[in-house]
Amino acid sequence: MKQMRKKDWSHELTLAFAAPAPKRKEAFLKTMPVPQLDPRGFFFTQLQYIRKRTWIFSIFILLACIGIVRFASDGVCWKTAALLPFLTLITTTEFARSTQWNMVELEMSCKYSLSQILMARFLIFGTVDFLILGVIIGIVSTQSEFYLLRTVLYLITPCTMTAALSLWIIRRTPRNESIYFCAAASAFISIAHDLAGSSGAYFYHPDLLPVWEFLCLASVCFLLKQGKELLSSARKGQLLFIH
Amino acid sequence: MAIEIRDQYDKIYRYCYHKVKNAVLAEDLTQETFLRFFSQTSYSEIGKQLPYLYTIARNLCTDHFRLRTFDREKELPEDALEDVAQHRMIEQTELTLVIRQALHVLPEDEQELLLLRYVNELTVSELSEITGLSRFAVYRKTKTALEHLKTRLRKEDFS
Repeated sequence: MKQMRKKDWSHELTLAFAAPAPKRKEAFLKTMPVPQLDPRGFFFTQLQYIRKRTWIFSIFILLACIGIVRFASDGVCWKTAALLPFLTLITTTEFARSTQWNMVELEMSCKYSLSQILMARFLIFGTVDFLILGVIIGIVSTQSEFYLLRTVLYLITPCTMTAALSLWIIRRTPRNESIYFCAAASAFISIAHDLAGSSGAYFYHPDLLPVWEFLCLASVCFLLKQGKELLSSARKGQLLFIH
Repeated sequence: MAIEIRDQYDKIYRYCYHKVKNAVLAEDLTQETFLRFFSQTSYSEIGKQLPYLYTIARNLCTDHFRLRTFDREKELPEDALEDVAQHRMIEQTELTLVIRQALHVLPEDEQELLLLRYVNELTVSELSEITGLSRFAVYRKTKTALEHLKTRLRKEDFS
């Protein structure tokens, strides 16, 4: 008997244990009652696929905002606003994963379509970011030089601008580079807010409140439009063609 | 997931066939295994519960033996031999038959371990869960089973 490796034993034993071909396999598999995933189960399944580092970095941002509130002597609002685009960047990377890692085609062929997966992620990150922002707004408003609604406006605007711009970038840039363009957009908005705040109280003057309101409203509308177009692209398979 | 179930169907069927030596009965037991498995397992656990699938199959085969007597010295069914003979080179067929005869002499639990480990490609952890043995015991028993098979084959060589 010649010396056989494990692979050889697997092969020979497979032959030795051979069984006649099953005759009722296909008919059974067609009618087999496979348990279905309810919406809540699908939601929690998608939650498990979110990378842990996304949550960890989000917590870091939250802690950094708390640090700003705790230790900054002034300009708490604009300093926090300068940090928030990176919170949006962290969550936006999860939407770029499919195109970045060339998984679009595979995800389109799964039981739950890419658009359903993206919707679940929108819901997950929308909820989580809403909660984190709520905490940050609550903490910042205790030290902010502005009243609550103005504080909310100054903090939410950079987030919505970053999110809208990132979703626009994901659909139009080469798949392996979209994350870098999103990072550049986040840095640009962050630096713009930092400069706006550090250059004096001009940009946060009450006279410019309508401008901020317009910016916030426009970025929310643009964000909703980009989200809708991303879902539509996912449904039509157009995300496959971004090279 | 669909690909996994198809693959596991063949493996569970092969396992049941090895136990009961009857194709029709083996297929009945295979289908019963899957029906029971899906009635008790949620969607998200399907990929993680492979040992449970084999445990159900094993219990069903054991229940079958409790109801019927089983002649362990029975000849292998002709159709299985024919399937092998029709599709392999003659030398390969001879080797397969020799290994099959050597396997037939081994204790039932050693045959089962060789089937699950080398043919159905279960890991030592999964085998440990199915058989209730420790991982070390599974590893040692599998190694012993293979040594017994090799010894038996060497005897066949000299016979």
